[in-house]
Amino acid sequence: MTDIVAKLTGKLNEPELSEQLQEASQTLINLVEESAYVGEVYSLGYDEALVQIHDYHRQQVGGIPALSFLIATRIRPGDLFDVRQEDASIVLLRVLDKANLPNTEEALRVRIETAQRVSGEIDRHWDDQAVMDPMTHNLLSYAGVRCRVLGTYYMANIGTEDTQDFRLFFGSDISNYYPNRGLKVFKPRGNVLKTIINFRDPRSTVAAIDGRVPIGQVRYASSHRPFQGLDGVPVQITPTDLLGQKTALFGMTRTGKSNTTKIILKSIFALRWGQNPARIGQIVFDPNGEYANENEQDSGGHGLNAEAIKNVWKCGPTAQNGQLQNDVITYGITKHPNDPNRQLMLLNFYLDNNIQIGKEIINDALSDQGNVKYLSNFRDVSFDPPAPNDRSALTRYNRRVLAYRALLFKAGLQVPNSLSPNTSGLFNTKLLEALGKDAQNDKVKSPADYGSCATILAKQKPTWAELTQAFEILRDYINDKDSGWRDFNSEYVQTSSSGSWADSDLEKILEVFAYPNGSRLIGRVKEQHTPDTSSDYAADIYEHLKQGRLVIVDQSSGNPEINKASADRVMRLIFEENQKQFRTAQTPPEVLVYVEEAHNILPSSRELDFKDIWVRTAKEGAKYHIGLIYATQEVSSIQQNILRNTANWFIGHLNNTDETREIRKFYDFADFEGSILRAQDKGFIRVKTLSNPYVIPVQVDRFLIEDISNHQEA
Amino acid sequence: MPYDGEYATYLPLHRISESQRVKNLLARSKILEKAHVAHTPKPIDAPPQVLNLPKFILAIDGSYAEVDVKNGYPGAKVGYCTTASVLLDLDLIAELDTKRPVDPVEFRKTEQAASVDAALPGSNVVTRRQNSARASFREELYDLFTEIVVDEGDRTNLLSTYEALLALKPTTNPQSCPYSESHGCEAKFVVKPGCTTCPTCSRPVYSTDALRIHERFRDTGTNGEAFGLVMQVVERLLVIHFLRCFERRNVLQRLISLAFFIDGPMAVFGPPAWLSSAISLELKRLNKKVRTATDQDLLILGIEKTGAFVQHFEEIDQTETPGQQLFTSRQYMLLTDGYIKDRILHSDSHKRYGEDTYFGRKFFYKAQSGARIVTSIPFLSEEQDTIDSDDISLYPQFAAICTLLDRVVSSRHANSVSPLIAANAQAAIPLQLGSRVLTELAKALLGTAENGK
Ligand SMILES: [Zn+2]
Repeated sequence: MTDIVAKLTGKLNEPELSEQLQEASQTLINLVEESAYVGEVYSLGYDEALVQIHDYHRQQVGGIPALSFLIATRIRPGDLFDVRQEDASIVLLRVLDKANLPNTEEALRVRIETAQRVSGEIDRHWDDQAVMDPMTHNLLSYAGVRCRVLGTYYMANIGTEDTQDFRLFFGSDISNYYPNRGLKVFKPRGNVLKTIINFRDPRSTVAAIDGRVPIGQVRYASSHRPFQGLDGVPVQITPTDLLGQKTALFGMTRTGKSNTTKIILKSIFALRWGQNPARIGQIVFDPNGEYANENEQDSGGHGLNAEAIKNVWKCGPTAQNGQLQNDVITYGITKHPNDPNRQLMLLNFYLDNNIQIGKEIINDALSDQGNVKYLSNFRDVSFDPPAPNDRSALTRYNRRVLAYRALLFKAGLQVPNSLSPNTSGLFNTKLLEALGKDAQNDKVKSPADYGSCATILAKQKPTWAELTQAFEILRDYINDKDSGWRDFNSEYVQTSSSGSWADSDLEKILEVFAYPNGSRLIGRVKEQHTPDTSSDYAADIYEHLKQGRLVIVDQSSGNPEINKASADRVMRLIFEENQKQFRTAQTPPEVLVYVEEAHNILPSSRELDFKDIWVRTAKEGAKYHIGLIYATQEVSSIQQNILRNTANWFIGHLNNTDETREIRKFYDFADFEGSILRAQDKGFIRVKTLSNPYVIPVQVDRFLIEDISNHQEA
Repeated sequence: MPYDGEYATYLPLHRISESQRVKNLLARSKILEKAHVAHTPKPIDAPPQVLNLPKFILAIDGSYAEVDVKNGYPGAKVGYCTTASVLLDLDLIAELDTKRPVDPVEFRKTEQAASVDAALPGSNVVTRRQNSARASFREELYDLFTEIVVDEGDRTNLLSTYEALLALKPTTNPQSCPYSESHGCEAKFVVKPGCTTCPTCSRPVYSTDALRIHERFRDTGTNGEAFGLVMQVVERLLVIHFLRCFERRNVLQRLISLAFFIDGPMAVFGPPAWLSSAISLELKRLNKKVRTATDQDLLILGIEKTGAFVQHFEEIDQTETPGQQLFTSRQYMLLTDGYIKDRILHSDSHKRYGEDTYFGRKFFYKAQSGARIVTSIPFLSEEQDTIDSDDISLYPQFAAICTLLDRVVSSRHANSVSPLIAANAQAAIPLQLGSRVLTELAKALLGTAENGK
């Protein structure tokens, strides 16, 4: 009887768990699925754990693939406990490799011996009942598994002592362990796996636009088979992780990189119809035209092409379709039959507002001509309109613009119908007289030309062709030592306060007229010019991004240099506009910039050009709310500091160790090196995002627009 | 005893065997020549497998480790002896094994183990009541026999079984006083049961002194031999002890569901060899009862892992044709006196081989898996008590024995059986006291009886 009292006293002394503590305890218990037991931790360290697993349990749970998650704990399923106790934790492990048990040698010998007994017999295996006895078979069914210790789950109170609020936390280590204390090991499946895969730190600031988007399913290995019970465990990402951050997409071509990009694009795009709608501007620079040139119609012509990112709007609520469709905009330099509605990235070079922009495009187009003196002089010329009340400066400016436009005309850029040359007030009568006088002077180089030049410049409305001719002659005239120019100009300088009639910028422009090659090179930008529009496409694109639209820029057609120049210009505009807002204490709009074939656009790891707009975006983008998603198969070509500042990683198959060596340095990607090198499966990637504390191997969903309605059918 | 063959053994002695002195010696020695041997090995096909096998196996194996201890005296040692008995549920194993891999939790239920362990004084360890290591050893051995109880319901100890056998020892050959060496007592007398005194020197004498293991005990140095003898005796006594417990429980007739496996031959060597004939008498007595009740013999097997017979079996199994062996699967050879003296242990004595030490006989068996097993079976009746004939009809359980061997051969070690491997493994981890074994066994046997068997 005495012990009854003792036992009862013990029971009565046990404090009752508060409701919060019971709930907290249940949260941890829910992670321990009894039927998913696989074995015992027999050795534990801060970095690695060794687990003994019997084949029976391995089979019961559908196998233990390499790189799969395991959990180790002393928590017993079904038993409530105080989560503040030391044992109230769950260690997260990642399977790395097999480990040798002390009987490995013996097991090997036995297997070899029994194998020899069945060698050559197709119907009999060495592990058959008739060959290996049951006791030996049972004993040898134990095997060791080496695991990485990823960290520890535990419950912590984020409330106060009085109003407790316990949440599931994850620490990326184990704070302590007892070498001689066993842990039971379970394989996370179903909901448990779902919780682990999609764990987010409860402390991380939950942005107003927070939301999670499924991108695929857990996948551990290339051979992924149904009995493993992994199907249907969705992996989610937090799209807002990408905002203002650098995101790397690595993988060989044709391993599903663009599919992953589409899934990410969609996840951001879809925020606009989520619970807390957010419109994030996204721009994709598409060097291969894989996104821009996708046919929006399916190949049979029956409806929407469900795989075209341009149709992403179709994923939204039907009621909003019409409006959402306007949120996807494509740009290109040339027309494309698959993308009839695209905006052409053309600029009306002649318009007053575009004079300087056009000049910059030309500058970019001439950037390879650095050692040609007259062209580098020409690139120095810039068109900054003077104050309207500074008449003298205005006259000089208008004169330069007229010469520049004539040069564009000479280069073959079609003039808008509305624009006719205006010479009024630009050409000094004394200059015209001097030209006229030299028409009769047989000492000068070409008297007849000087005469016609005077005639043209005297006209109220000369044609562009005439003007071109006149400027060509004027340049010669100025350079003709025997002409009346010197006398005219020295007299002009004496009466004018602004120096020579021909200022140095005008001279630099006129000089180009002297070289047939000069105008021909300027003609490079011909295909970017249109006489028909009246705004700058870069500004248009920025406006779209501000409105939270998806902009796809086709860079696959047209001159590569022009494409590069226009991409640079668009990027610069985005950067500078956002920077401007940041500097004026406004919040710049969130913009995500997608760069494909990043090794061609981002400066190489050896280059140190810090002025490059892409380097600046990579380095300072976060500050200005510009997120950069860069995709490449050449990890080694990306600058170290860009890699180091990359917050989100999506890593597919890479086929050589030069590339994986770079990745090894980050997180526990080293554990995945073998898998990255071997598994060539499309869409099989390893994901580490800002808010997820560990790497998750994922089979990315195929980008597909589920609802293909036929209402578009003709 | 530990298993050999876990590590490859090499023979660096080859060089020595080639030396002239060795050659000269061999030239003066008898060489077994093919032309002159009267007995050639003749494998015989084993009788067909039987369906009706025992459901349980009780395997007994002991092991000892001599360890250094610190008690202030140099070279102090203690012998740590463990005897494990493992009860295997053959039917359950077969049932579970139909689908591999088997749940280890379920599989563990097929094996119930118990062990008894004891620390016996070795050199320079003297218990407080004694004044020499040898006297301490004798007293502790007696205590050990007193302590070994295998049945919770019937706390009869091993000593009582031993003393029952001691009663069968002929009194014609009195033994020296255990104090003859240490104290010069020259008395010779018959050791009586329990704790008595020497009629001459009046010092205490234990019934276990009749085993005379203390004669091999050394006050300094290692006592491997003495501890080995203790294990040998305990292993064999345990079989008899179990049987007598069953007898007292009146379940001898159920023993057809059980087979015993022990490590080594059906023999007792060294000073306690007299036990052999006592065991034989007792086995015959018990078997008679079993036979009356069931019309069958007890199933008791001894398995030899090493020694001259194992080596000989290996040698004769090799033929001139590489890859071809003399014995095919399921062939046996019952060893006769003539064969043993001619081919294995040369002798021209007319005394039966093992007359004083053996209570059974050996046969070679090549199991279905191809494993070579050197097995001993006890003489369970007067007619069986011969090694002149190789007629298996003397042994009605022979077919069952062969079938059983087919079933329990282990893949783990060459020529070994799993029950003894299990017992050996248990002996290495002494944890629980042995009294549960028989209770569980009786429960299991009664259970099968209740199930209509
Ligand atoms: Zn005496």
